[in-house]
Amino acid sequence: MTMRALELVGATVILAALPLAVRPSRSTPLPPPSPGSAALFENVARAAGVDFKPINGASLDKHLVETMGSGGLFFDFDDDGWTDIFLVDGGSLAVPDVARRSRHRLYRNRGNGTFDDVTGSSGIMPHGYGMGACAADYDNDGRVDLYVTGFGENTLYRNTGRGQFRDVTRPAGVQASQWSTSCAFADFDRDGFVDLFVTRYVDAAMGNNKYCGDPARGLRVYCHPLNYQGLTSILYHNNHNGTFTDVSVPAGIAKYRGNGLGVVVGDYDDDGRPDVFVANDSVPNFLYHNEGNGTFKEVALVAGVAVANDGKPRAGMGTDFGDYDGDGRMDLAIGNHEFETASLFRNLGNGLFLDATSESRIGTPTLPYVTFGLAWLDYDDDGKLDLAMANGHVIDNTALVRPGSMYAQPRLLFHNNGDRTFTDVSREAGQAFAAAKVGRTLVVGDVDNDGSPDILVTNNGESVDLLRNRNDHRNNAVIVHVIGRQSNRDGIGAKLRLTAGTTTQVREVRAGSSYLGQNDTRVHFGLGAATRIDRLEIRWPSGQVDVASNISGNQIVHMTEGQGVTGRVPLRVK
Amino acid sequence: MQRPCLPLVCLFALIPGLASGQSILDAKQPFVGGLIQLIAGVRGNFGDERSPVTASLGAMETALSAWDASIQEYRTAVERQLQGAPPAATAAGMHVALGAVYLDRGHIDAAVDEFTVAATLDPARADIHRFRALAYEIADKSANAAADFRAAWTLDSTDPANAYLFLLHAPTSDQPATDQSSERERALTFLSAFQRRRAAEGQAEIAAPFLRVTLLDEARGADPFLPPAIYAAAFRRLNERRYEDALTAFRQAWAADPLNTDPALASAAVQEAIASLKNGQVDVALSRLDTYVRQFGDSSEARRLSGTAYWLDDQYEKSIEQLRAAIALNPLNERARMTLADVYVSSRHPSEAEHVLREAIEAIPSSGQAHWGLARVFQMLHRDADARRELETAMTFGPLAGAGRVLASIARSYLNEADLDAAARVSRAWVAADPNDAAAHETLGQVYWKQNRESEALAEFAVEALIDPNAASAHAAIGQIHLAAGRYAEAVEASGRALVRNPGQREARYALAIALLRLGDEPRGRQELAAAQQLQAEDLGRLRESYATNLLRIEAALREQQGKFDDAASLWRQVTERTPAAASDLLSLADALSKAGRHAEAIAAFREVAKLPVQPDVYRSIIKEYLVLGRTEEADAAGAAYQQLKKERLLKLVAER
Repeated sequence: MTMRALELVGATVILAALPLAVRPSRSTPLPPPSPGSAALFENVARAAGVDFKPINGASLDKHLVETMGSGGLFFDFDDDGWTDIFLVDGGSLAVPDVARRSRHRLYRNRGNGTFDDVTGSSGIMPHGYGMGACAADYDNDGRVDLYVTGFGENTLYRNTGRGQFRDVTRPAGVQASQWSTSCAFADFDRDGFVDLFVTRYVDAAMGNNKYCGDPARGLRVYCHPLNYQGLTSILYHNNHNGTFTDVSVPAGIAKYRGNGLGVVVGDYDDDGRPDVFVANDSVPNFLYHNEGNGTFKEVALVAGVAVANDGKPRAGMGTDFGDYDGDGRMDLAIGNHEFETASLFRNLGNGLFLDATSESRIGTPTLPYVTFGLAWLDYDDDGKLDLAMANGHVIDNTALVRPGSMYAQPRLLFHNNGDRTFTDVSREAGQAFAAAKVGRTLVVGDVDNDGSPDILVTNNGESVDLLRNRNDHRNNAVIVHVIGRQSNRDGIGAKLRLTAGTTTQVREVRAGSSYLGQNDTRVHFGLGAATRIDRLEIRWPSGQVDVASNISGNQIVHMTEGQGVTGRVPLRVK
Repeated sequence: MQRPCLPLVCLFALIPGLASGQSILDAKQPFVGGLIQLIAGVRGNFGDERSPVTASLGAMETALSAWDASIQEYRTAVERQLQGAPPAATAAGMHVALGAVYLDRGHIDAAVDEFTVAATLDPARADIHRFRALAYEIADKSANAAADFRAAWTLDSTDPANAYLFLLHAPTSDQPATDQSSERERALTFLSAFQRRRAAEGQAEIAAPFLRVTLLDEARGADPFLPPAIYAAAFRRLNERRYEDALTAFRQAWAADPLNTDPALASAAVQEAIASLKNGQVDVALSRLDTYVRQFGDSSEARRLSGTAYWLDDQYEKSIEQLRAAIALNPLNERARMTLADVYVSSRHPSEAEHVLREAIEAIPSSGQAHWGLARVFQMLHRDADARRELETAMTFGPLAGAGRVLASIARSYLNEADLDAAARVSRAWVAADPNDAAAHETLGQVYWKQNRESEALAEFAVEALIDPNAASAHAAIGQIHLAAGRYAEAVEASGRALVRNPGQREARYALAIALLRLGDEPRGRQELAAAQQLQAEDLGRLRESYATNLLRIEAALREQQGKFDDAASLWRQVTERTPAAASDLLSLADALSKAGRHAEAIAAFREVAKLPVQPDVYRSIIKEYLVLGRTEEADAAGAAYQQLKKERLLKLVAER
């Protein structure tokens, strides 16, 4: 039974095929786990059948791309209500035989804690060296499509149903060029069809590879991005007919060259129009304000997110919008290089942000790490957004450059204390966070539909990790799956305002964030001790506002534009 | 060059009515003067230090006796005055002055007793508590010291030094946490306000707001003085303020010092050779020393001096040969081992220097100099963690002066590794060693800031700005902390102060702009933001330029490795056009031209190098190139210039040492 079927039924449905118990409600709030209790996360990748080690093609030529990838995402490609996984493979610039072995992976969630590798039958074939991915139903046919960025050309795979995809890049006109990194779908002009934003990095093409390091010591290292020219981002407008038009120039995007690595789309000023934040490596970040007339204005410096508090640019990588202080405004987290600290910009309203890195207490713990992937998540369902980070150096032989420096680095998990500060709970997160890896993408999704977000992390040159949230469900939760009708089918850009008791949480539906990745587009809310949702308001990209009231917690709620609640599925417990 | 630290008692000027006042002021200096002479002598650079060392030891003994006599005289005079039952405040002043005299002399218990009596007589006087706190600090009684610093702040809350010292020592106080917290807040508020007021009024710095009780000034920037191992015990006692014991130990060490015992050094002929060397007549000295080395075949010191002379003549191989012979003759000849390491560093063989210093440590485990030298070599090799380990070991030998420099290196090393706890611990030690060093406060402030200890960071930056009001970075850091905390008006004020001092201060310009925008001053905010953006763009441009230049250097080096010297020279030419003042780049260009057989161009490049402040040995390359071209007259002229430069360098060295 697919979600489409659920929608048609429009009633509460329990998927009978699932052998797992329904998650009970809790009525008393419980504090986060104390140190020494069982680990919060467990790496289940191998047991779940997600056993994939991307090829990075690391070579003595030290092509920069070798150390930068690759990505992955959560999406429900078969619309069965279980979040699936797509993983990007890299390749090799130096050795053609290695390059030919590159093969992306599509894993179908069986709904029982394991995944099937269905790549072979999917029609997904890599073209060149893959980097990142984002996914959305660009043609509103009810099936989520897939866009894969790369070093060279990008690929758009149209989901044709039955688990199959077709490469429609050329006819769609979205191949781009040079080195694309992160991407995001969003309906910038709110015409009901998602557009596509692609960030690009630097001009480190094959013929432009440089020798960095110390020839006298025979020490070659991956080059700093400032050795290359930065590239512009690309904005593709959806023509509603399966094709896109590159509108970067008229939109005002092409004016700005950056070293773009991360992108996230969000309505930071709550004017109803999606804006774009691009995290740039070693040059000031970009915040493109959507002017509502097809153009964007770059306002990062004025808004206070271009550089850190000291006025200096950081090596921005992964990024994500999220309202961590519960004021309804989208705050911004960015992963940076070691000795820079990650950045946290608190949204003050009126289009202004405050560099709250120090205030939030995430600065000191992130100081030693190079943070690539990064995502907001409410891992303990307490109604406050926590923050997870995947770390790993860029220079594989960094220890030779600076003794003590590590290529592989542990991950970080920060618990939101509810007072605009965070506590580093990485230790409590267990070995899944403590293990040193060369982390790149970190995305969030609930793979077992238990109401507690799980985490997918890709690692350069190492196997992918799937971190199952071992939350013991002391708090309650709800997952909201939005379905657009006037708006784009995936409801990307919808703003959800949930009130339970005295607490209101605001989330947005997005398709593309972190670094080279994308979270599950379903929206997760931790409810703490609340067992019911008093009010759930959805402001759709079309402008339509739907409100549902008195909804029970601990279920997956399907909300259809203009129709309210059209489906309910109880959450699972393990 | 070491400088004496002023006697503590100078702070009091003279106690009225005490005839012995001037003598007590003068008493410490001869002892310290003798010590400075001794320190210069035991370095033993030239082998002619026997007389000055003997003289300095005598001078120190005499000075110490005189110092003690003047203290006794002063004490008697104070007691006599006290018998006249002066008013309590006057009596307290006399006890404080006597306590300060004792403190300077290292009689800590007696000093504490005097300060305690003074505090009883004049309980409202804050400085008594600061003095006693100093005494407690020296005696490692940190809780007592913290209580007295707190008392000083309580009694006089108008003195920034009191505020800071209270803040610095407050964590060890036994006051209830809440009281402590509010008192800390009060001290911090006062300190910030005081610093802002002074800065706004354009007042001069408070050059040395914190008292120190030491024999020598910190001599910032100079190498730390780590004595030869044979003197380690003597200097340790000096550090412990056991001056009589120290003198006994100095005598014992001197009796065993090769400088004093090696017969060759007693020879008038060798001394003549040394005199020639110090007069810049290196050829004469070398000739004579060669003779005496043969004559005193078993003299390690003769070999060492010969090796030193060859080193000063840039004859590295011969120098190494002589110094190795010196070490073979006396494996405990620490000076020979240290000089050998220096020669390897001069001849650009740091790995060999490392080997020599490791051997030195193995042979002479108590050589603080060897650890310091090894740390410097590791720094040269960018082996930061190894360098830090050696610096930490060197610190255990208790440098008499220059500890601040060592601690600065250690603190920055920890900071570079993001080990903030260690960086904070070492930076605090640096502040303690040299509390009047603005750089120490800046570093500690930066560490605290990274640790999210904003109020402590603010205190450090405020003190930095008091000591050095022109430190734009201190005002900028204060501005950034206020900005991060949402205190926009304060951020505007502090950033403005930074920009008055340095209009190009990018951090301050940005903080000012953002704070103005947050305050709603859109026109000024945008104007400042545009200026900040311009500074950012310029900075980024410079950074890109430096990356591009470095890529050219790498490409040039690769071409050389491939034997493509013309290509390399062309690339080095591009580099030198970007960095005309970089001697190393010009040298690389000249080398590449030489290897490419373009000798005339190589000579031109070498001559460009010679215009820069570099070692004279660049002339050796010029001579070689002229000879290749058969231009012997020009080679001779270059040779003469080389000899002259070496002589000037030698005379400068002699004057400095």
